[in-house]
Amino acid sequence: MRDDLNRAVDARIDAYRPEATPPYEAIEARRRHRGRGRLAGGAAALAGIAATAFVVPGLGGTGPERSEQLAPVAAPAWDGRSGPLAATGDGVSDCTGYTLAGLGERTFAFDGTVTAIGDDVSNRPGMGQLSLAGVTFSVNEWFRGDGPDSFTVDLPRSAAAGFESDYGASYGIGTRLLVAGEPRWGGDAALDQPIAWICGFTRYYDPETAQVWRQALTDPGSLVPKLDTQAYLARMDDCAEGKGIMVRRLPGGGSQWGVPPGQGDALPKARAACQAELGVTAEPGAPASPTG
Amino acid sequence: MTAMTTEAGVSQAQDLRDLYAASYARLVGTVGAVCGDRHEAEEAVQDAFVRLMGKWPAVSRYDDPEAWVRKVALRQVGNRRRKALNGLRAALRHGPPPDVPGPTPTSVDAERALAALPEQQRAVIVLHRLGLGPDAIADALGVPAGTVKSRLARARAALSPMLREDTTDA
Repeated sequence: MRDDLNRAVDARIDAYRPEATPPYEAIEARRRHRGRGRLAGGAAALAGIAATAFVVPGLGGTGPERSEQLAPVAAPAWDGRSGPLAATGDGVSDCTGYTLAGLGERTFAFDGTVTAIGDDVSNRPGMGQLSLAGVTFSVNEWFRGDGPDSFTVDLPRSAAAGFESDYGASYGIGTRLLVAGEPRWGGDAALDQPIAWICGFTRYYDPETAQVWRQALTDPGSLVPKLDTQAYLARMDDCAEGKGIMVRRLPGGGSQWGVPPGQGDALPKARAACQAELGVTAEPGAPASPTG
Repeated sequence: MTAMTTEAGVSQAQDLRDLYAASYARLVGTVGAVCGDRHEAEEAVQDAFVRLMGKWPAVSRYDDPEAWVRKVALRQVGNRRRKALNGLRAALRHGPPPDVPGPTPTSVDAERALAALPEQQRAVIVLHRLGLGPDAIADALGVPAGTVKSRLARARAALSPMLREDTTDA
């Protein structure tokens, strides 16, 4: 009997053993897009839904039959919202920090208005299933990617569309977003099985951010000369202090940065990190080095 | 100093990739054997590896990092099942229980007998087959060692008549 049992256990384990191991990159992608935290009270916060946005009644699943396709709509006016669509920073443990330099590394970015929510388009059988919705946008403007007027990309499911959302994402038909992402499984085709990055890389549309994206992605060199030098230095100082650098602000303007003896390499690291956060790789006045 | 740190980081990352490549299929097989659903097993194992990424510097020093992944995946499956069971119980409160015919002992084979076990008992049988002792099984499942022993005994008792019958039929 013991032999029978052992054979049965072995057979059962073999039966559930997959034929292939998904590429390690699939796990890394899962990590990037998986939030273990939630926005503090954010997922249920529907109060900010604009008059132009509404939830499709009964949209509670992912089947194609439950996908509602509406005709492309004109870009709605800004509804007053801004900021990241989903959890960022402390809310998600695995976020890559949002910077313009990071934005420049995405393969596509656009300003679009949600016209339909349906099945995901990037999950592959046996390759790691993420809880996503395929969201179709009427694209108002391509900043990068130059795709079609109507484009479907995977986003975290929306609490506003009746889904349980691990990311606190809230959007519906009519919501206007700034979306940046990349092909989930890599490759040369910028729009193949696309997935939007969260962590700040997909945001509620606002005119100011749209303008920054437009410049950063279509004319990155224009960003640097527009930076006000004093404001830039002040922001660098604030950033450096946040990274543990001792900043001494001089009465006549300017500042000095310091670190304890033996930590000299912390200075260039902090400078590079802060420049990345501010979206530049060159000081104002120096030859512009576009980010992205 | 920086170069050494970088090299160590690269080495650690490669170690994690190696562990993933070597153990993924085995872990999915084990977890699937317990929960009876390959998709759910893959979900749990992949989630466990995602969690491992953030803890790799510490877990890589363990004697058996794969055991840590298995434990996390099994507990995740258990948590999901408990949630599903609670939902089912809630649903059943609103109507009569479904008329599901019980297993027919004359038709079961060893595999079906194993599949018919309660998941908690099947888990100890599967892990025991992997060579884990009661303490290791207890750690993996998050239950006392005494509970493991009693589940093991109950599982064997439950399997015994079915397997004998299977042998007789054969």
